[in-house]
Amino acid sequence: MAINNELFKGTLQTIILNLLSVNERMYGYEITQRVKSITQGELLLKEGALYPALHKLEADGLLETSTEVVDNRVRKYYSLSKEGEKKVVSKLQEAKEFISQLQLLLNLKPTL
Amino acid sequence: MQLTKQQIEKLRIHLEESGFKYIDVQMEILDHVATAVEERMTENANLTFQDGVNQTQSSFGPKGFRQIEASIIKGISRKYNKLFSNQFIYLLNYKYIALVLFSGFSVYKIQELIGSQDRFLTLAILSYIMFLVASLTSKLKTATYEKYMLYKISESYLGYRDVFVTVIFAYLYGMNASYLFTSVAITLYGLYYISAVSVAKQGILESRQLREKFNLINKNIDKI
Repeated sequence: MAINNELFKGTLQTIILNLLSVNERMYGYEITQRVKSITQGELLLKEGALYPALHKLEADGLLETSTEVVDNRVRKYYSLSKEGEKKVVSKLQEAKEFISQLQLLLNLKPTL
Repeated sequence: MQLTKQQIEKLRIHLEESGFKYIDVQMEILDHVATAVEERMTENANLTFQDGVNQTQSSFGPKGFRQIEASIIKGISRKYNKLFSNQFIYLLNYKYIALVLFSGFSVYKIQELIGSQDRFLTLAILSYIMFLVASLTSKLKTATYEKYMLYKISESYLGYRDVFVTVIFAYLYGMNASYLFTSVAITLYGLYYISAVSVAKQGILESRQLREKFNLINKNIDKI
């Protein structure tokens, strides 16, 4: 299932930062595949959502990029910048708190 | 399954013919599409290269690769906007502020020494023409990077400098120009120009790094 963009929007940057904190450096296609494999194909990260998020994080100075010639083409790798390494901790905490609040709201039982 | 050099080149030409003319934009889309095609062809050994490309292209949705291109442009613009404003602010910090004030004061004194507004204007126009010639010469040297979006966006800041010049000249012509205003405007122009050059240099550097890799790939293709 492709994730609803609206649902993904708020957490996509945190997901990317977290993946890069674990994997050191990744390229665009690899990120989409990693999300797919971790969620066993339940969640699909579309290119239309991934690239704007990657470029925004790079422009904000949270990601750094490097290029390498791989298999006859140039591949762009994304990695966390120093600022990004600091930000990932607070972003994760923020997301976890949001999820626990969301669970509270979604588990509401109708009152009699 | 790994795509051959010819298949990669075919894919690149397809992107170019689809309107993705900037090499850096092509490169980012190309790697993503090529990797996706390779995976499809690995999963299904009977799949042809062309079918793999078609399937991958349609998986991008109705906007196709345009969405990636748009985000690349937006990202580069955002990055260079930040670099430009950081550079401009940096020139106003304590390290350079004395030099900036001295430059403004020097322009003020030059006007005072020249004495006549018309003569100062002639000098300003002559200096600007010389400056334009130098800028055009420099632009010719970097024309090779015109095919890179990084260069195009980073270099665009230099185009806006003419707004400063127009304001300065319009003020000198239209009103009784005060020396102070001219000094401030020229000094700000200088700061703007230094910041713009700094951004353009960064764009050239990044474009050059990509060009070296692009040329390396093309050289390998020629050898086949």
